[in-house]
Amino acid sequence: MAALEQLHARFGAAMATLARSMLRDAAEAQDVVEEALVRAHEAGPGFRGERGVRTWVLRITANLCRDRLRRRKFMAGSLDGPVSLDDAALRFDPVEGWDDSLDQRAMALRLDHAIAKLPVDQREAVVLRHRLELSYEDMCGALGVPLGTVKSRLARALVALRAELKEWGE
Amino acid sequence: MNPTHDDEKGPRWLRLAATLSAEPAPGTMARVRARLEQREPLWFTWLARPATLAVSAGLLVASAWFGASLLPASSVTSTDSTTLAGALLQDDGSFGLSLEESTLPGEAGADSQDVTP
Repeated sequence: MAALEQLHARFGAAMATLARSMLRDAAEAQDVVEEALVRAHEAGPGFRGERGVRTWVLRITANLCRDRLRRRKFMAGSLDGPVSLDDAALRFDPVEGWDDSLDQRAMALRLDHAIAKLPVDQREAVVLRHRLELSYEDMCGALGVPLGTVKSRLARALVALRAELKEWGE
Repeated sequence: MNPTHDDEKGPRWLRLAATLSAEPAPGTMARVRARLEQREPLWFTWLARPATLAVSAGLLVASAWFGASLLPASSVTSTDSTTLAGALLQDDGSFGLSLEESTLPGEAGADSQDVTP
């Protein structure tokens, strides 16, 4: 149980960020995080440590999110839940050295909304790479797909994001 | 537009993606502990998996088929007539008694003597 607490302390935020970004529902994301911790506890003895603990728990979380989204499809659930920075579970850490004339918070929310519109596989890739800052190798481990697939998903996602936010330029 | 891998780094505004993060709700570990206590034993969960059920059903069918193929084979190939059923089924009417002596001419039984007028 001590190992589980350590897992929660070290990777709970990353798991919650992934679940929240994918599901866009605070209650469901919290449920996924708890379930992922339970599964990690149960699967712990079988952990081989090939890609590291972080990748492993994120993979469990990503799989659970995909299951929920698949189920939601049948229940006609919406993916566009409103995001507010007033939500206590969400944190905003501004980028250092950003142009002060630009409203970073508003832009971050707009970008978040654009990410939410992406297909699930591309959204997953963007969140892991650009929100959680995983390496390509760790992304392969977390998503269970080859490097080429990871890169093409990211490339397609960027095309879609550029089109959605074209007034922002580069 | 055809996406290429040159887009890996992405535009500058993509750095804003990392500004938003979430935290697990307070009391997460207490709820996880409660879930673990309520959880069915692992072996039960494992046994209830669809794959396990399918394998069990397959093994049942295979063993039934194997058993059925063994049974008729054993009854056909058995030539041992020492059992009661075997002796009766292969009986020639003597019910296990030797009739050879009584069928010799002139040695009929006492109740079947020649009647002389």
